[in-house]
This record gives sequence, structure tokens and C-alpha cells, in this order.
Amino acid sequence: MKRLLRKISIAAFVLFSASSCDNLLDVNVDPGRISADQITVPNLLPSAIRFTANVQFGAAQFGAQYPQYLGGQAISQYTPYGFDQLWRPLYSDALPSLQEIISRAEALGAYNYSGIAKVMLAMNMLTASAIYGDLPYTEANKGTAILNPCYDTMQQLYEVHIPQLINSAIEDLQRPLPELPNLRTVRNDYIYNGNLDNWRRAAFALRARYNLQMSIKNPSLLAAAAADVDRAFTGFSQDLDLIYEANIQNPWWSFLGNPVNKTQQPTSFITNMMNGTAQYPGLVDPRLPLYMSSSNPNEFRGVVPGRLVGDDPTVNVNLTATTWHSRNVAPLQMLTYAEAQFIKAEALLNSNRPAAYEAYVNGIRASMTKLGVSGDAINSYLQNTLVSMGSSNLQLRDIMMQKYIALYLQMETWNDMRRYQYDPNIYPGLNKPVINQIPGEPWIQRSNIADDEPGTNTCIPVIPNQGVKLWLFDN
Amino acid sequence: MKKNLLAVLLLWVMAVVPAMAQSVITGKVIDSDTKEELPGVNVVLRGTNRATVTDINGMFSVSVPSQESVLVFSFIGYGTREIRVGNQTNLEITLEPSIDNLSEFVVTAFGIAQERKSLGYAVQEIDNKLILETNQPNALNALRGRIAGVNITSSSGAPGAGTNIIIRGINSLNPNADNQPLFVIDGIPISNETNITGGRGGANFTNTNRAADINPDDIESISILKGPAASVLYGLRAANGAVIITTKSGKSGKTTFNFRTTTSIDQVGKTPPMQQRYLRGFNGLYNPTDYRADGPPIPAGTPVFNQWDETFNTGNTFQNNFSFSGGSDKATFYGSLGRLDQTGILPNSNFERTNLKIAGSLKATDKLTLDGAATFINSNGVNPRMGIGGAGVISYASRYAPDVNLRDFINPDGSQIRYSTILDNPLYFAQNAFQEENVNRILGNIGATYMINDWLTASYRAGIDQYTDKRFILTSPTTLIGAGSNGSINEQIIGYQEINSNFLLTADRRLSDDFNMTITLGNQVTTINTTNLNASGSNFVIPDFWSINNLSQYQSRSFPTSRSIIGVFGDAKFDYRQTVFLNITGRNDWSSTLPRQNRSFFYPSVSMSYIFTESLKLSSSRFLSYGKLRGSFAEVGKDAAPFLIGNYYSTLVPFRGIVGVARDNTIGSENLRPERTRGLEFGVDMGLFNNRLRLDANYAIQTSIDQIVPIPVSRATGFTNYVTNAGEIRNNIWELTADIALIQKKDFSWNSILNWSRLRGKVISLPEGLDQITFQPESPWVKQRVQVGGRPGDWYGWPLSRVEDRNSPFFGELIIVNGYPDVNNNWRGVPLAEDSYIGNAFPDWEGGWNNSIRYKNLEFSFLFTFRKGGYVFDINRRMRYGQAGGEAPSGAETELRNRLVVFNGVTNTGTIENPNWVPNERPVPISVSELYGQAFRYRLASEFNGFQEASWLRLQNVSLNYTLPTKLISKTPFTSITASVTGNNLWLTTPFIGFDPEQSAYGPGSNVFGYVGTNVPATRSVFFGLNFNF
Repeated sequence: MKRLLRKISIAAFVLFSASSCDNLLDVNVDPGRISADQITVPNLLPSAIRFTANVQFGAAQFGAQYPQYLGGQAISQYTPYGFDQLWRPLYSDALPSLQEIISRAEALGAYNYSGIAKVMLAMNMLTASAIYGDLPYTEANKGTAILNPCYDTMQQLYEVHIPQLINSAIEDLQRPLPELPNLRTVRNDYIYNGNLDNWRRAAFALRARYNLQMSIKNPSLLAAAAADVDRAFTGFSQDLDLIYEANIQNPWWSFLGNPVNKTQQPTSFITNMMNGTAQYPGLVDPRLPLYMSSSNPNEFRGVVPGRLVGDDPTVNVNLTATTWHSRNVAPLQMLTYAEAQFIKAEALLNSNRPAAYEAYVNGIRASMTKLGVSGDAINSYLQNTLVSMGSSNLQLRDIMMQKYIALYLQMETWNDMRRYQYDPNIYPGLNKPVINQIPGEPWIQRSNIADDEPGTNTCIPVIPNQGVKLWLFDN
Repeated sequence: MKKNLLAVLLLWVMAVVPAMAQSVITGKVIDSDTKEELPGVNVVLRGTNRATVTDINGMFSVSVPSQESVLVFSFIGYGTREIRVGNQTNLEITLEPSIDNLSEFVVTAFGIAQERKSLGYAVQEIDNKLILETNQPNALNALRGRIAGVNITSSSGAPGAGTNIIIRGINSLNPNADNQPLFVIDGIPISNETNITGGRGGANFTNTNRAADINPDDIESISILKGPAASVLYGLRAANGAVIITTKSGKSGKTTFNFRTTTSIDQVGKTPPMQQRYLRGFNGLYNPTDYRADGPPIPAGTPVFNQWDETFNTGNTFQNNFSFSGGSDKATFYGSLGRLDQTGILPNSNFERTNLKIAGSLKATDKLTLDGAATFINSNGVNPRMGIGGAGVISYASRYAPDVNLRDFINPDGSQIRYSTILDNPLYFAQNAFQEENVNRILGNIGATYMINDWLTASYRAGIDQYTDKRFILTSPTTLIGAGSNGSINEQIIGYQEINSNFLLTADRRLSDDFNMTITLGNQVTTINTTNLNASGSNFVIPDFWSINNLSQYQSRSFPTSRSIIGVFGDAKFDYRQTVFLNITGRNDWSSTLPRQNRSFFYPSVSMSYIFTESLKLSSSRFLSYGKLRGSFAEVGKDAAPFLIGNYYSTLVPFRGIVGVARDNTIGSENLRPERTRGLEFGVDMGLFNNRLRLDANYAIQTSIDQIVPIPVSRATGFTNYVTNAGEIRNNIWELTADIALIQKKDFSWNSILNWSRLRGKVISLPEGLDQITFQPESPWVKQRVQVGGRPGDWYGWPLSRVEDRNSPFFGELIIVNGYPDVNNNWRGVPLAEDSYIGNAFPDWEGGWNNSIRYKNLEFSFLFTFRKGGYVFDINRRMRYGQAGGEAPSGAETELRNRLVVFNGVTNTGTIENPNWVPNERPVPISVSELYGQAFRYRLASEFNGFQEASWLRLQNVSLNYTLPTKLISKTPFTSITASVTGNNLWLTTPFIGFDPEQSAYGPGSNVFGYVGTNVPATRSVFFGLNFNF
């Protein structure tokens, strides 16, 4: 009896353990996270849009000190800087999300989604390549298949990959809508709410930006740029902006608008350009109090590029929670009608002056109207001969200065400046920062290598110091 | 399903084992000289975990399976005796006083007491007396400096601060890995998790390691199983060693009561020297709203403050513990109630703990013993926000200008007086940015031991560890960091449940007169389920209403995990004439966290010891009275954390009413294999001069291969981390212990123990294609980098440039460029990307020296601990020596300013290729903005930025105990009364400038060592205690 009991219980134990082991051990699936087969393209789009805005803001967060919009931080002393705030959102967030939308959407025939994603991807790669030069692209985002992605040269990116992306975006956005009913309308689109026509116009505006940049290699692209502008935005209401909300605020608000401790301030260059003391003597730009606030509303004094915040107690301007760009609910501007008009003005300056002049005025007016400047103030500004010199007197520097003002805090300005190599004839009054820690104290031409890369990637090209020109700007 | 398994196991144990008779032995233990009864003597049935302790009258009672059974009697300060039971039922045992503890018993895996001499590996045990002597609320701290090869550091001086324990170095490179050993209480593993707020790497709050929940008064002994050979039976969770805690249990005989009360005064230890010469302002100009002390010299008569004196208060600790114990031959009972109240040296910092424990055992039949224990613990506390960034109490205080009265910080309307817009007042901040924590925990276990026959014993034990940790983190909108989001609150509920089931079948058989064998087979099932529900939000509706119901924006997240491990193991012990011992083990684990194809893994161990003095007949020799050689080899596998395999997607925070989904940045290999740690160790244990000097030397080589590491990969892969098997580290450890009985008289004894250990880690390989793993790259000045050929904890940075040409007469001199010292050979164009090796975070060697002196009823002991080497980065020093980016020139070093100096060094008048060195003669101005504020002149050089050697010698503990003479209290109900005074950390000498360098910015359980200066500094404390037995 005892023996039998023992045998039965041993058998029961062995059987039971054998069958229960697997149940006990098969618990390695995270119940709190989503698996790849559960998600859809409309789930990915809102993330991709926000990541794109992070990339565009990240480029400017510290980078806006190079075109001298802002100053006052150690980086404005030109400490080597690797644009980590751009690198990280680009490669960890934006590029994977956008490429996943593209591949999933193309497989489903949802070219509406793929076209949108390509516009944003092309814009991000264009922004990044103009800062870093060479970048991983064809070997990027391959996961564990390529753990050490090699870099494509800036030339390959500019001559092959980026134009391909833009053209393919334009193509996709002109294709018929997908069959699947739940993909026919683009959902969760923070920017244009699924309006493909606006996305198509954005794609042309982007191509105009691209053609203008490439025109220093190939001047015939100026005409292409002007033609693209005509197919792009018809007004600032179509701008490629991401509008923030009170709970998730515009990153400029979080960075400079709201904090008590301002780490950067508008520079003397932009401040003086607008307060009537430098390039436009006696002409106060009505956008000035919207761009920055001063502790003395009668006098706006910016920080001298290279100086630190707090060095000079007479500096009195700041971005605040009420200045236009750094309000919590402000739009983050990525590609605007005003920029497109200035592209056209620059592109046509030597071929069609009246059209160039018209575009120049359109750009100024759009920039001001968008900010809510009153019609009277706009007209009085535009009536000043320093601004409205007439088509025959229009100079390149007039276009570039107005574009500079209109594209406040946007990194596209740095491309303009480097295209003209910080030429003081085009940017009158532009001086090097008073402290520069790059050997030889050159004008800064590029990003340092992204700080994350050495030590994690064995396929890094030799990246020269920040004083060496990028391929695009080396002519 | 899991519960069913436990039930079936239990039923099985009960069903299989039929009832059989067995005899009960009773007896008395007395001192051979005085003939006094000895209470508290350990009585162990050899080869089992069955044990009892003599009562107050020296009486004991134990049931034994056969006449062959051997009882072992051991007691501290007496020689151990082994008695074969034979046909006796009542024994009188005499023990001879002796300071030689050579044959003492130590607790090994699964609570099995084994004779030390039989062990082929190093085990060290600390008893209850030493633990209570230090009065440390966290029992782990009592072990500091007492155990060779074990590094124990308290993460901060805050109440309830966690303690980090690393046995024989870092085994896992993974920055998120847990290198903490397994904690086992009474045979059942428990959690020693430190749920660091913000995850591993979080640095903003004080967190407690969960082993600190244990009431030190309940602990009978702590045994440290150092290497894999010692811990192998516990399986993969003990790959970093194991801490085996045996708690008190009831003792049969007269019911006894104990009441112990202590109170302490705690004060801040070492603080950094601060400048007290310059007013607030900038560039020499006074500005009362500038946070920086860069103004003009302070005029005579102006009140000047040492801000550390202003910031820190005196803290207090009150510990009260009441316990009772008693029972009959059949049943025993133990109960205790403990209470700890601690107030920290910062405002709004405290810790409270209440422990309630009951334990009992019952001899149901002669064959069957049942026992169980349950402990309820509540621990709760508050600590202000700290951290490596600028926003922390220490960080704010360290930048306060010396002419500001920091204690004057509240306006009549209750708002903060803030003298600048950069700094919050540290005292105000402490009240308005903090974490409150409340843990309720239940530890319980129930066990049964059944003697199947005279050589076969089955035992089963199931245990549970369950706790809920509720956290409330507040950042008031009135603080600088809270202003941006208009205040934020984070409420977390962390749940932990661990169930363990252990089954052991032990056969102990004497095969012949000379040959004995013990075989154990076992099964262990562990399931661990955790939950973490995290609700956070911001934007207060009512400005001073501190509730999560008061927010305008919310986010909630849930992070559940589950993990199961099944282990089957065997352990065979053989001994030959009590002279040669051999132990072979094998264990197979199945872990849920590894891919199905790799989740089963086996690992073996073999260990041997040989008492050469026995076979060489040397034991009667006066010089070499005892000698043992030991050696072992073991391997332990280690699984991964849950849910590491593959890749997941997560939702983002809702934005404009839409929630996006994005891919996570970590991807795990689908072919993950278990990590393995191999240990090879050799030791010698010798008793010299009649065993008055005992020497123990141990050398261990521990290699961890196939490490599971989330290697940082290029972000261009689309991921930031790839979890894979990669890399190998080897640790070589020397451990030496000398135990000397200096004086051995009846009324006067002096015992001195010195321990010393040296550990060298080496990175043997890294994953293919990966040259190095850099930790903490966000602090650009100094970083820790792991690379092949290097050691874990290697620091890299930018040292001052020096002449490197050995033939130059200026070899070693500073290189001066434009009058200021150059950094990182920047003079010859070395880019900052090429860092130089500047030191290692781990000490070259460390140890402790303990002395116990007894004169009649007076006991005095002191413990020095020391360490040599070990570089740390004082994050705080950067704060107090800078000028830009929120830093302030408040450190004493910056008193040297506003003058011209000529730096001692040389300048180059030649070319980079052919330098021509001439002594520097150029005077340059030293002022805050010209030197301290300049990155390249000052802040980047590792010599300046807080990177320092942290060698030390400290008086860790000194204790004086006086036991009232028995005659004096014979009329009272008390059997003994002891009064004590204890000092902890009273004296410290170190070349390190700053706070006490024993700290960890990243908290216990973090794998990043050597970052200090951001947490509450270590305290020195004096305790007064009274202990009553009745």
C-alpha cells in the first residue's frame, strides 16, 4: 500500500511538472507593449510627424547660434558641437518611423501615406545632410543586419537619394487613392488633416528649396526652383507647420520661452537688423516685439555673438512665453510660403526682376501677416524705401536680409549664409563671434561628428573639423 | 497553475513519507571550567539543517533518526564537540573555552550548516552580536569592512538610503545589469531589488535596497557565499554570490524576553571647503540678484555663512525592539516587534520602519517537523530631490553665495525668498521637491522536514515575498524646475511577488568507518511577477494642493514583468576520515526569459578540501596546529531580464487628441544564450601557535562569458541598443584574513582580525565590431569606458598636457599655452574625441581591521576600514568651481582669483613636430571669468573638474558595551542588562576634497560606479543603547 502510494505520487509529480513547465516558462511576452503585427500605418503617421518636428527643432535648438539668431551659450563660442539634438531624433525616431510608413504603405498601395512620409523624410535628410555632409542613408535603419552602417557622401545624397525621394513623393501624391477603404483618407495627420493637395504643394516647396541649394553647383536649377515655387504653396495657410497645444508645448517654449533661466538670447545681429539701428536705419520692424521681448520696450539690445548670457548686463531681450515663436501653442515652422517666395525672388533676380521683386514683397507680407502684424503696420513698413526699393534697385542682399528675418530660428538660413560664405556684402554687419575655439578661428561650416557615433559605429568616415567646408558649399 | 504546483509538491512530500519512529535526545551543555550552564549553544544534527539552541539553563532537546546520528555542539568562544548519540538519551556536554573557531559551523546553501573545515570554497559568517554592535538600521552596513572580497557601500547619508553590495567584482558589464548577490532568508530567496526612481541610472531620489526592510534584531547570522562554488546550488540568481540570512527562531525552555533600545545623534561628515571672501555679483561687481559669488571681496563686518552648516541639521535615529522566545520539546515560538524612526540631516527627510515577526516550529511526530515564519514590514520615508543635474538640494546649496543667509528663505506670505532666478533655496526646495515612499511587505515561509529513515530526510519549503511600494513624487510649481510645467506629480505603485518552492531529499550515510557520504537532490521553482503602475502629470489647478487629482494633464503607464525559473540539482559530499572532503554538484535551470531553444542549461561544480595537518599528524604541533588546503571549480549560468528578446512598439503621449505608436529603440537577439560565470579558487587555512593566529588566504579567478549586454549601437541602425551575448570579463581576487588572539585570559581578552582584498577586473573581449562601450557620455568631461584589455570602471578624460618626451629636461612639466595650462595635448592638435586614460573607479585594494577587547563585563571594539586608490568624479565640484552654465565659483579653490599668476610649466617656442620648451614666464590674470569659467582653461581638465583619488582610512565603528554584574541585578526580574555606546564613521582621512567619497550618484544596484557628490553626504553618528534580557 505504502509503496503504491509512493509510486502514484511520484508519477503524478513527474507528469504534472512536465506539463506545467511549459506553461510556467512561456511568459516572456511583454503584455505592456505592442508587437509589430498589431500596428497600422495610421498608428505610425502621428509619431512620424512629431518626430519630424523634433528633427527640425533639434537642428535649430543649438544650431540657430551659427546663423546668429541666438547666442549666449558655450556653443556660440564655437565649442565643437555634434548636433546631437538633430542626430538622435533623426536616426532613432524619425527615419525608422518614416521608412516603416513608406514600406508598409507601398506594400498596401497606400501611396497617399507613402507620399507624405517621403516629403518628411526628404526634408529631414536635406536638413541633416546640409549640416553633417556625409550621412548613413542606404545602410541606415537596417537593424541588426547592418550594425555598422557606412555613410553615403553628401554628393550621393544630394545628387541621387534626396532628389529621388522628393520626386517619388510628388509621384506618389499624384497617384490614385488606395483601394482599402480605411486607407483612402489619410488619418491622424496633424499638419494638413489629410489634405493631399497641400502635401503635394509642400513637396514642390521642398524641391524648390533643394534646387536653390543645388544651384550653386548647377545654376540652371534656379529656373527649376522658381518653377517649383509656382506649384508650391499659394499662401501661408498652407505652411508646413506643426501646431502645438497647451499640454505638449512647442519645444521653443520649453527650451527658452518658459524657463526662468534663459540659456540663449537673441543676438545683436538680428536685434539690430530689426530695431532700426543697423541695416535698416530708423526703420523698426513691426515683428520685433513679436520675435523677442525686451525689459525696456523702447530699446532692444541683443547678445553679441560669442558672449555668454549674463556677461553684459545691458542685454535685455529674450524669447518668452508670449513671443510668437516660443508660445506654448506656437506652430513650429518647417517649410513656409514666405520661404518659397524668397526662393523665387533669389532664383529670378538675374532673369526676371519684376517677378523677383513681387516674390520678395510677397515673402515679407506673408511673414508679417502670419504673425498677426496689422495691415497698417505692414503697409507702413513696406512703404519705407529701405524695403521697397523697387524692382530695378532690388539687390541680392535685400532678399537675403528679408529672408533672414522671415526665417527666424529656422536652420535653412544657415544654408543661405554658407552658400554665400557669410559674405558681409550680402549680410551687412555680420561679424564672427568674439570667441571661437576651432583652430584658426574660421567661420563654422558644418557639424562636428555626432557624439554618439565614435565608439558605436566602426564605419565612420574621416570628419574634418568644423571649419572645413562641406561638399555643397565648397566651390 | 503555479500555486497548484506548490500544492502538489507539498502533498507529494506528505504522502510519500510514511511515519516512522525516532528518538529524542535531551541534555545540558556546561562550561568545562566554571561548570556554568551555557545558553545559546548551537546543536546541529550533522549533515542536515536540523538544529536547535540551548536554553537559558543550557538545556536542549533534539530528535535524532538513529544511534548513528552525530550531534555537533558549537558556541562562540568555545571549542566545538561532536558526539555520536549511541544509546544515550540524556547527555551532559562540557565545552572548553577556546578562541579557536576552526571547527565552527557555517550556514551554506539551503540553510545547511556545514563544518567550515569541510568546505572547498570561501564562506564568511557574521553573527548577530556584530550586527547589533554597529546599530545600523540597514543590516548590510554592519558588514562593511568585515568581509574580504566584499565591497559594501552606502549610497548616501539619507535616512533609508540603499546599500550596494558587490561580491568579488562586477560580473556583468551591462549598465542595467544587477551585480548584486542573491539574498536568501531562512532558505527562501527574497528581493533585494532597488527600484530606482527613473530606472537604473536614475539619480534624483534616495531609494532603499529592499533587504534593508529586514530588522537587524531578527537576524541570527549572515553568511556570505562568495564565489560560484558556494552559491551554485541556488542557481542562476546567485551568479553574483549569495547573502544567506538566518533569522532567530524560538528556543525551547523558559520563555525569555529581550528589549533593546538605542538612540543616535547623526551629523554630516566631511563637507567641501567653500570660499568665504567674495560677494554675489559678476566680474567683481556687486549684484545682489546674481547667483554667482563673483562680486567684490566681502567687506569686514558683513555676516558670512558656511552654507553647509546652514543646510544640514542634526539627525536622530531611534530603534526599539522587543522580542520573546520560548517553547517546549515539541514546539517553539518566537515573536518580535521592532520600530525604527530616523530623521535625516536635511529638512523633510526621514525614514520609519515597523517590523513584526512570528516564527514557530512543531515536532508533529518524531519524524515530522513543521515550521513557519511570517514577517510583516512597513517602511516609509521622505527624501528631497537630489541628483546629478543642477536641480537638487546639494547642488543648490553648493552654489549659494556666502553672503546670503540661506536659512532666511520664507516670506511672510509663505512664498520663497529667492535671491536669484537661477537657484532655489535648498531648504525651501527640500520641502517642495521630494519623494515619499511607503512599502508594505510580507515575507512568509512554511516548511516541513520528514525523516524517512535513519539516513534519508525529505524537506520542503515554500516561501513568498510580496510587497507594494507606493511612491509619491512632487515637484511644486513654486520651484524653478516645477515652474515650466506648473508643477508635476508622479505616483507609482510598484508591486513585487516572488514565490519559491524548494524540495530537498538528503541521504546521509556512513559507508564505512572512514568514509561518509551525503547526497542531496533538489528541485526549486521560482516565479517572480512585478507590476509598476505609474501615473504622472503636470499643471496644477490649485497651486498648493498636493494631490494627483489636482492636475490638468495626465499620463499613465504600466510596466508588468514576469519571470519563472525551474531548477533541478544534485549535490554529493564525500569525506574520508574527516580529512579529505569532496563535493560535486550539478544544476539544470530552465528560465522563461531566454528563447525557447536556449532556455535549458546545465552547470556543474566540484570542490575539495584537505586537512593536511590531520594526515601529517601535525595537529599536536604547537607551531602549525591546523592546516587546510581547498580548491574548487564551478560554473553558474545566468538568464536575461524579462522581455528582452525581439522588438516592441509603444504608444506615445497623446498629442492633440491623437496617440501615435513608435518602435522601441532596443532590439534583442532571438538567439540569446545564458550568460555564464566560471570560478576557480584556491585557498589555504592555517592555525598557528596553538591556533592563536589563524591565517586564511584565498585566490579566485572568476570569468563571466557570453554576457547579455544591451550594446549601444549606432543610432543609424534605427536602434540605440542591441541585446546580445557579448564579451567576457575576468576578475582575479586575492582575499587574506588574519585572526589573532593577542590576549587570552579569563577576564581579559583581545582579538584582532585583519582582512584585505585586492580585485583586478579585466575585459577579455567585447562583441565583434564593438571597440568600446562608453557609459555616461552625457557628462562630456569624464566618462567610463569599457574596452578590450581595460578594466571595468576605467575612466577616460582630458588631462592637463605635459611634456611627454622623456629625454627632455622638462619631462612631466605642464604645457602652457597663452599663459594657461593646455588640456589633452590640444597644443598639438589632438582632438577631444581622443580621450586619455585617467584612472579606475575601483580601489587597488581595500580591507578592514577589527579589534574586540573584553575586560570582565566591559567590551570594547573598534573597526578601521581602508581603501587604496579608486578614482571618483565629484559631480558637485564642477558646480562649485565653475562660472558658466549654472555653475558658481563658491568652492574654496576659487579664492585664488583677481590676481596675476605665472603658471609653473613650459611653453613651446618651436614647432609641433620639434617643440622647443622654455619655462613659462607669462603672467596671466586669474579671475573667475578668465580661468574658472573657461572650459578649455579649467573645466575640462580632469585634474580640475572634480576627478580625484578616493583612498581613505576611516574609523568605521567603535563600540563600548558594559554588562551589569549578575549580582547587581539578581534581585531584579532581569537576567542581564547591557549598556552601550557606539560611534559610526567618526573619523576619516582621505586626500579627496569634497564630501565623503563613499557615495553613489546612481544609487544601489546601479552598475555605474565612481560618480559622487550629488547625494546626501555620509553622516557620522553616536548611538546610546540599552539591552535588557528577562
